[in-house]
Amino acid sequence: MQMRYVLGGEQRAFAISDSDDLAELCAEAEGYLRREHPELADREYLTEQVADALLNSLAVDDEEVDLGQLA
Amino acid sequence: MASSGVHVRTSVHVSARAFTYLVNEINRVFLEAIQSSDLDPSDFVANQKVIENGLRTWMTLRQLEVAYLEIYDPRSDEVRTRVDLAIEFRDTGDEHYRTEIERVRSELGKSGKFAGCRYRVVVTTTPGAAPVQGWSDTTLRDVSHLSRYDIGEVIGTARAGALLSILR
Repeated sequence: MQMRYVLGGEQRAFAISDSDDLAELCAEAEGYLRREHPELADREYLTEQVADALLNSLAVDDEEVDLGQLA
Repeated sequence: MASSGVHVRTSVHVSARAFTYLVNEINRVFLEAIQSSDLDPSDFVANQKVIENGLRTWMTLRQLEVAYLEIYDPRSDEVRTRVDLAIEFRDTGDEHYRTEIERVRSELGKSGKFAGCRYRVVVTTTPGAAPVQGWSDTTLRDVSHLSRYDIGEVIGTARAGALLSILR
């Protein structure tokens, strides 16, 4: 599954597994973002943003998840 | 492999739709409870986005245990009634969405009117639940003077349901 987001004005993307467990997908995506971007490592409400994006995209059968603007 | 991929994607989409539906319906039940108690819903509506964000996050992570609407008298701080929606996660194959709103209305109607009271939404979550903007730690008020009525499941989906109890 593809995740898209914007950071520093740049559109980026990464892939996560095809798990059918939303909690797993959320943890996987959040873990990737915190690892790859030190500026997000301490962001308190990143989980909320990822969970919201997962529900918004997947509830309407989107193939990709748009995380929106992260910074 | 192809059919397996389709199955996985469908399943996760069903979960997302189920959790979205459940959160919307929890809000609907609480709004019904506020209105049937003769209370002003404007505080609830003003905070609906924060409430939804919390419920959506904890549903997604399967961390939500119970959502409560606590109606209390601000002069005595005593709870007059409480509406509990206990979340039960499951994994059934058939996609469905069901809210027994007439049953909810009928049960809420037995609680009476609480003009002059205030209300708040509280949740209990599993330990270590994710922080959500606008939410903070609190303690439920004492309800030992109230009787508990377990109504049963009033919101049902393929991935989770909500069981209604009313304390009055």
